[in-house]
Amino acid sequence: MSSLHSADQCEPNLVPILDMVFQLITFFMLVINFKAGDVDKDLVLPVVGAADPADEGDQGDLLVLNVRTDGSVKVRGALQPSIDLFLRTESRVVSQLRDIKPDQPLPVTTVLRVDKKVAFETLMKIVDTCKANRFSKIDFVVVRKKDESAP
Amino acid sequence: MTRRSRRKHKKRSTDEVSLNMAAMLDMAFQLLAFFILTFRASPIEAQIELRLPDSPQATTRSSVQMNSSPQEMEDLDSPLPIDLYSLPTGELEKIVIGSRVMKSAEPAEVIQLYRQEMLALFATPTFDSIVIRVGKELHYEPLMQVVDLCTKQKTSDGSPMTKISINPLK
Repeated sequence: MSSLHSADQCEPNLVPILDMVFQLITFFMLVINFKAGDVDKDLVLPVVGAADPADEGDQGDLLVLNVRTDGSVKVRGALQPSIDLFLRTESRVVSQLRDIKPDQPLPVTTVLRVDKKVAFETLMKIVDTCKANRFSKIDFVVVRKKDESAP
Repeated sequence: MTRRSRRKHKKRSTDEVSLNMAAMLDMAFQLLAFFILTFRASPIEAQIELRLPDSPQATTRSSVQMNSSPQEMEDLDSPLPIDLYSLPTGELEKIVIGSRVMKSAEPAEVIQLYRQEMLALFATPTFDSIVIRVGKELHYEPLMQVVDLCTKQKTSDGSPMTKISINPLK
């Protein structure tokens, strides 16, 4: 009798655990953000009451500029030595690809992720550079907190 | 020959087909570990839209103009002037709305006073636009806190405040 028991193979049913693991994988795959490469996680964004939620529907192409406290700008994970040169090149490329005339604004939304300690003067320079290179639609990114000041 | 093959076929159909789940589970756990380790919950981000003079006008969201030209400044109807003064460290020193001065040693208190003042001013809306003049050293956070509250106000005709101009303080 005992020899018969030891000869039997005891196999746990792995199907439910596999099912659960695949559900978890599906969850993580759905919430993963592939645009994270554009975002500089070292920045501390300003916290405000209630701005409009980030609307990705009607913005067209996005160009994310991460402005650090020292005024340096990081785009697509790389620090740009000259933001003017970068935007000029980008403007030329977009104009050629989309066949846009030199006097028309570009159909690109520039998303400015600015550290909360960046001086207004630095911000003005960057906005002016964007404007000079026809990136005239700009969104400022802030962090929302619970609205406590609605009129 | 045919009898033998029939016998074989019969024997096979009674056998149980079992998959080796261990390898699949191993791979699934590795994938799961990767996603868990790379997962980083980010805070809820929002956006304040800025419309520069060349951009298309149509927008339902509050939009802000920056560094307006004298002509654009003249075009603003009954503007409310708000001046933001900064300390050399970049912190908010005081806010001046018209003739009212909001000042405190704590920048957070200045924002609180400003909030109360705005609530009182816009209880009966009489302004159609807001002109914010900003000290060049002021940090971005207090500026956005001021702008954010401006975007939530109503104009004299009850429509949302969309004409907000930000300029350097001279």
